[in-house]
Amino acid sequence: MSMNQARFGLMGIFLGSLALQLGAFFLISEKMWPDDLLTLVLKLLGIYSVQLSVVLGGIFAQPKAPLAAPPAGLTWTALILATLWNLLLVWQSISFTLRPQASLGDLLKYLDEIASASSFLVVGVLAFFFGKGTEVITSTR
Amino acid sequence: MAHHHLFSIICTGALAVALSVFQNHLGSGIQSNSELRAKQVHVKSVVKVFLAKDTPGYSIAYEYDFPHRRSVYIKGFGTVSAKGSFRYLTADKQLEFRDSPDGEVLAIIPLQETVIVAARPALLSTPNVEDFPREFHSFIWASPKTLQEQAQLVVNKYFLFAPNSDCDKDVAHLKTTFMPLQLKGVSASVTAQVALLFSFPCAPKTAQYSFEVHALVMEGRTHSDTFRPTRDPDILRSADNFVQNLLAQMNAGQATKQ
Repeated sequence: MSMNQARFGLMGIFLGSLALQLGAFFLISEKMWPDDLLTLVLKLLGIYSVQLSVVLGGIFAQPKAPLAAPPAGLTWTALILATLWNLLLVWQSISFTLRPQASLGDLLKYLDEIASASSFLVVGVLAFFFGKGTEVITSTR
Repeated sequence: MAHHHLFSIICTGALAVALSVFQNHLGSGIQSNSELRAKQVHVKSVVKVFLAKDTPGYSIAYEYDFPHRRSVYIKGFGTVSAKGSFRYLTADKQLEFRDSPDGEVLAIIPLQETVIVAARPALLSTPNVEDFPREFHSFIWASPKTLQEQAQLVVNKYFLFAPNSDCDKDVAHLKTTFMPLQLKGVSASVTAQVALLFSFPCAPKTAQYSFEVHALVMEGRTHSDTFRPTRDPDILRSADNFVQNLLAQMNAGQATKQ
């Protein structure tokens, strides 16, 4: 798998999870007070802003020259770790929306604590794939 | 000198005997008083709760019987029949029975927890009197039973209530915790709850007197934690029906609507 494929794969996981949760919250917007919905959306955007700013920053700052492909095992590990981190959040968010009655306070507390406590799962991955770990292939003619 | 010494010994001995007899008599008096109290008041349960975020209190249930009396005054609750049983929330640390509000003390029972709650005690808050709307239902009370007794019989089926017989401008209050309302014709995502405030004269001068029932209706959402005052006509109608039904139960031969 090339570096670009790995990068877009990771971006897809983060953006897809964010979109899935936002969509679920908007679908049940009538079950919440408007300001509670706003609090929830802001919380989620706040959590994802760190990861997505690194991902998007890495992609937009990508050099024109092709990047060195990462080891295959490393790419799959990165994708699994990113999926795992997102599943921790998506699972609870979707479960919240499906319950007939649920506590918003509990969900906010969960998102806050789990997102920060489990960030070790993705910090290294993002640093490697979107930061200094990327190498440009120098052409030798 | 020897006679004087002997006289002192006899006097001291007599005094000691007299004191001992008096002490025994006093002791048996205290014992019989506490036995009497035990027979008169039976505290069935005392459970620690929170009446507000940082205000501890108790949910108590007790029965009492003071023979040869028509009524007794229970501090914080008001004047009631001489025999009965009650269940309510209180911030007091003891039950105090008197023959009238300023009269002789009949019994004082310290409240000791009968159930120790391992976790943090439940929050059973009641709204402040000022939070209730000014609009009210007015009823006439005309019954040998006191309003508090009848109200607790009916109200306890739905709520816990916190009496407050401390008179404010000659009016006593009895307020309840919130209870979920059954709603009709309203979206399933909408919830509602209601709390009631009974206001009645502290010392009614006649057998018949009017009392007021204020209903505080709050609207919520299934996925939000907060409830807010509502103006939704469907919710207010449901609350009104609930109050009418409750008062009809109290009414059963006890009160008539104005």
